[in-house]
Amino acid sequence: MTTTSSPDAIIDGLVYLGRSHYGWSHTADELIAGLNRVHIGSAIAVAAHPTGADFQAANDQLLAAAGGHRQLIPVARIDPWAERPGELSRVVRAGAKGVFLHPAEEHFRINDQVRVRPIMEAAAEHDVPVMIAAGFHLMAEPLQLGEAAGWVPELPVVLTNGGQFNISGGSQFDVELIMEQNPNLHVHTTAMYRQDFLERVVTRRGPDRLLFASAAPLFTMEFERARADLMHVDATQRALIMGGNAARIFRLGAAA
Amino acid sequence: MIFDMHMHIENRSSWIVTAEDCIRAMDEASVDKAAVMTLGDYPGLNPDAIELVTEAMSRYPDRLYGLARLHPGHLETSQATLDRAVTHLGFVGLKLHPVSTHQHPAGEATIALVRQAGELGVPTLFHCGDEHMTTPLAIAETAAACPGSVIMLGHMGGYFHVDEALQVAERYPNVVLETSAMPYPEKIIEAVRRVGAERVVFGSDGPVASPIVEKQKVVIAALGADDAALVLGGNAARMLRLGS
Repeated sequence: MTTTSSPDAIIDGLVYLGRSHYGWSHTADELIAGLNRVHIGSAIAVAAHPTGADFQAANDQLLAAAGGHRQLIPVARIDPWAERPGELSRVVRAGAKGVFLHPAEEHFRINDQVRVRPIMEAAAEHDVPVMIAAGFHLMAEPLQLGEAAGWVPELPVVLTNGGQFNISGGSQFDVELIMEQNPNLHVHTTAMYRQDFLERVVTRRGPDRLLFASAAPLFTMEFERARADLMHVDATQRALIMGGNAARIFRLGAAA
Repeated sequence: MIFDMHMHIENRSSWIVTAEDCIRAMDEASVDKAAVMTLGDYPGLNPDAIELVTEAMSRYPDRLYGLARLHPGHLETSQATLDRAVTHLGFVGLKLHPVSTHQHPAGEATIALVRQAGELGVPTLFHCGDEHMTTPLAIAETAAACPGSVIMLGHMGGYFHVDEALQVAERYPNVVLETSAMPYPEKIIEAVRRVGAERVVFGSDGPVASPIVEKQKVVIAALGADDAALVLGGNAARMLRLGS
């Protein structure tokens, strides 16, 4: 094992920011303090599910926070149920580096042709990747995620938490299948307890398909950093996982 | 002494792991000893399960301690096997996984087997996560029906049922929380505060999960030296009567 030496090169692939409808909050100052404490250079940030479901305001607050903190890379949270068809374009033009979908919290099925496919296609038209909160029963199961990824093969799609939530390990087979079928799919390291799965992603699908992420504050930044640091990968692979892949996929340029 | 309460060896399922894989992962994590069990249940999914674990224990007698993973649906065979495993082969506990056996924790067969484990003086480790028949509230039924048996909630509720696992442990004094795989270091702190360090044990679900990563979760929890010593090994030594 080797650890990444330069904190500036490390990008946390997902953090949440703001006050959530579900009872927690995470301020920009708290987030920056966490990044500094765990020696992470920057983070891809998305808005928490806002109370009152005002996603436009939540995205604006996120963009404002990113404007004041160069360590934050904003990604637009889009609600397929919202009656704002231009929100994705607006937020991307305002500086968002990608689109975030949370099927469980916004309560939609990720392979819904009517509600979701147009968003994926719009993201492709704007040339920004899509990140999806993955692994939720009925809403974002691995095979459903694979179907959605297949709609737009040229669009990079990043799945949170290894593409699954399953403490028996059985969902790994579905995730391995969709990653084989969809070269545009990538997964986060967050909360994925099966280290052998994460390492198989690297050996079978390539080191360019795995991204370190903490998903703080829902998960513990320090532990998630340790989970990624303790993977059995070489220095080149580690550099991609800990930041290089995020920089490439989200086109972060000098931030990488 | 650091003891990992949850490791696997297997020669028949989709995941093949050996005793040597366990030892290698334990050494990397500076884990001294571990409880090992198969991924498949005996009889049925893995007819070699008991021999496989017995052989691993014989190869690493001071490091690997067997749990018999049994199928309550084959109750007569499982009861005879549990008795033989504990009294003659040196096994130190029972493992039950309701996802693979399709046996509800409140079912008569499961309760009979868990009661037998209690009578033999060994604990039962349940897979306890988010899937049907494995949630803390399902296993609480077993805890209520088997007050003389120690029941460990492996994974302490998984991703989404950890708070329920804590509630069940508060409700039933025969319930112990096992830390493997669930991803929240702060819940280990909360568990120690709410039910006491004597009822929390470290596990990894290795070697496919990583003991060094899972141990780091306990380190990050920063329990203090005395409580950490109990969680990381002292409780296992007491519960499994190591050295006696």
